[in-house]
Amino acid sequence: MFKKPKFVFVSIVILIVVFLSLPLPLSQKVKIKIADFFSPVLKFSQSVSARLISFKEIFKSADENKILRKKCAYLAGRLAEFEEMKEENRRLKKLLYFKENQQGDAIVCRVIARDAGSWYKTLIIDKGADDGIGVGFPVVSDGAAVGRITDCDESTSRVLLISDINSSVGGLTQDTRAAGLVEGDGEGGCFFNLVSKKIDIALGSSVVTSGFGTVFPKGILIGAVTEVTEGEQGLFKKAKIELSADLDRIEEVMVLKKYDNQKASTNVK
Amino acid sequence: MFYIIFVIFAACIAQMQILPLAGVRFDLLLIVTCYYGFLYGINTGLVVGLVSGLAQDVFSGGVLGVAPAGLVLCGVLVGYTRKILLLRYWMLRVAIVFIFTILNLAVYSFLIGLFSQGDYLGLFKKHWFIISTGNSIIAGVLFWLVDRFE
Repeated sequence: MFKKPKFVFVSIVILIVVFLSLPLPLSQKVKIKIADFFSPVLKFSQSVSARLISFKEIFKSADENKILRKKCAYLAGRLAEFEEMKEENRRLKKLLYFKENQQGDAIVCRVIARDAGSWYKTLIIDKGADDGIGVGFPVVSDGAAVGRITDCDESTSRVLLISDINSSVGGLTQDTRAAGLVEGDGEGGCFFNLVSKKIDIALGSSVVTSGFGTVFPKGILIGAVTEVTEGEQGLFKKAKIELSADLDRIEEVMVLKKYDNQKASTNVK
Repeated sequence: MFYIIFVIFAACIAQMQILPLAGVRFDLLLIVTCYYGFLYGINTGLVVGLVSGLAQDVFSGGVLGVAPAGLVLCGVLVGYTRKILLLRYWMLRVAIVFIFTILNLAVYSFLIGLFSQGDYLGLFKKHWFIISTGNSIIAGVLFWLVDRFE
């Protein structure tokens, strides 16, 4: 193909060094623009992939149906209990003049592509700045935390999942209110780090967002504790969390628009 | 040339839509790079590695330029391997894909560790075997199919 392999090799090495030296915001902007350009192809390929998966799922659905019917009946009972508790909570808050956070609107989006790399955990969704989405907006699915928007173009956005190694969210356990930092493990789960040694963490206890930070509002479910160990240097506790949201199979997500005490930004000009 | 670009693009799209197995994603773009390196030599391996790496980085959350570094290196080495080994044997090609998956993963993990915080080398140590094995199996099937229908 090329007559001078050494020249080609040196040119390619120089090109790679140039790409690696680009400022990160510029390279992220270029990437999201290209992803936006290819979004019709990604949407089509995602719909084909979803049909193939649903065809396979037909064979498993009969048994799953029986299990789900039983689960529905049980959950209906629990729902009735929770409605009662919710009503009581509302009355008590009113008595204490407790001002609830105003939650903004939410935008439903479809996942059109997953990260092409080995270690990064990101998704590309089919909505962007034109739909009111901005960088830093939290993303949830079925009431569970999924991640946050990191890049945004006119009609596509990239979501950094909470299981990514670079992700960290403030969390606390729902029962003992132990506060800590939920960090991605890069494999599909999370660690609950920097938890005080004085507070107990029970296996199976739910971890929710603490609201400390500028991304997630308080009280969004993250997952359940599956293992508790001592943290590094023995100063804190560390727990492993199994996420409530199935990040590998997610197809639709909801982007929460920023609420009053948070700033929104977009990198689309 | 356009056929190669189409194959790279199709492999990238397939890689993004395939669900991970045991939490890890296999590397179709590396298989494409190795295939064209086996077939046409160093130059083609270089260029296919560059284009595949850029395609992977564009649709990934990582730094632009990290994936091309590993794939270009693999493309060059596969091209050299073609000169010194007789690659008619299907198993030999599969074994080479196994080795170069480990190399690509090591380079990738090392480079992204330089640009981000996080124990990427730890992830490499934990998952290198399953990714290399899975990649080799997929490469074996694809190479067999291509050889059969060519």
